[in-house]
Amino acid sequence: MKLFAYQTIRQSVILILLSAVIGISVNSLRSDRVPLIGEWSPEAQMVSADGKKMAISLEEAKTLFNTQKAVFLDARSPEDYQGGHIQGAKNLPWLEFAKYFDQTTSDIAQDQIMIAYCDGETCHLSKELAKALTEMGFQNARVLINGWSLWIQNGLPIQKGLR
Amino acid sequence: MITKKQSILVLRIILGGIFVYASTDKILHPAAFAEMIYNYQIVPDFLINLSALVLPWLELFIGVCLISGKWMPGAAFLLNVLLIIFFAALLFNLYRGININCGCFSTSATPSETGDMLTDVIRDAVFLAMSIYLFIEVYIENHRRPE
Repeated sequence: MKLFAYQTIRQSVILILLSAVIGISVNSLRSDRVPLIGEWSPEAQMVSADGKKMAISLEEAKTLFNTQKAVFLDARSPEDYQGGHIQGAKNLPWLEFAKYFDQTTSDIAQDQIMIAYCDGETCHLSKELAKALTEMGFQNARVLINGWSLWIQNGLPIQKGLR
Repeated sequence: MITKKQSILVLRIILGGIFVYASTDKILHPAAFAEMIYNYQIVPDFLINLSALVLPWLELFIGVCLISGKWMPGAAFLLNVLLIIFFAALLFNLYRGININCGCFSTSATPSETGDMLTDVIRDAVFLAMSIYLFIEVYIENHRRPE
């Protein structure tokens, strides 16, 4: 029993160390190596396929809101949307993207600035939505990280109910 | 009649083969695999890339050990540890309702439907059951030898 436990632990540790050494060495030899410690903050994540920065600040969003230059898209569920959303925002729930895409975006021009938002720093709905919109040909899809909370905290205009 | 020894050999080759197969795409595409680990939202940010670099190699070595029958105690133990972690991670995200691509075999698949995630969970449960049985047999085998 003791011997078996010793063998198990020794072999496991060696296998893990071997994997670590080889994994890290092979990575350092690759031309497309990844950094050992990556940047995974919400802002760093918001880069579209063509390298454009997708996250925008609340200040920018506010300006675009006041000048009515952007369409706000609420990526949360219809229930959340009805409970309260940014004034004038349209609901395009990411989890039901296919169902809502046509009716929500039919009157939006391809070069229109769009600002997707959801709730919480780590909420991925708005990011995924903006990425998908970019793939669908919309050139100016942006993300306001933690948008709903920020919007309320700053006392900006909201409304309730259906679109 | 299939003997116990033969059934263990079959288990070793199935599980080892699965691990070798699952490791290759991840070894080739560490950045894509890191993205998948990130999507699970379980591993702390600073460990994401390191996990993406080391884990696939560990899967490969475990698979090779299982197939060749070398270092069975360590390989079978790590096999169980990894399968338990994968299983728990899948269950956790199924429970949270986060729809992710499990990234089990390929780093290029699209996010799966919830139904598919359930399939992933069931498949992992089967692997885990096989691997627990294998570890017990390795233990018994190891124990018998000195006599």
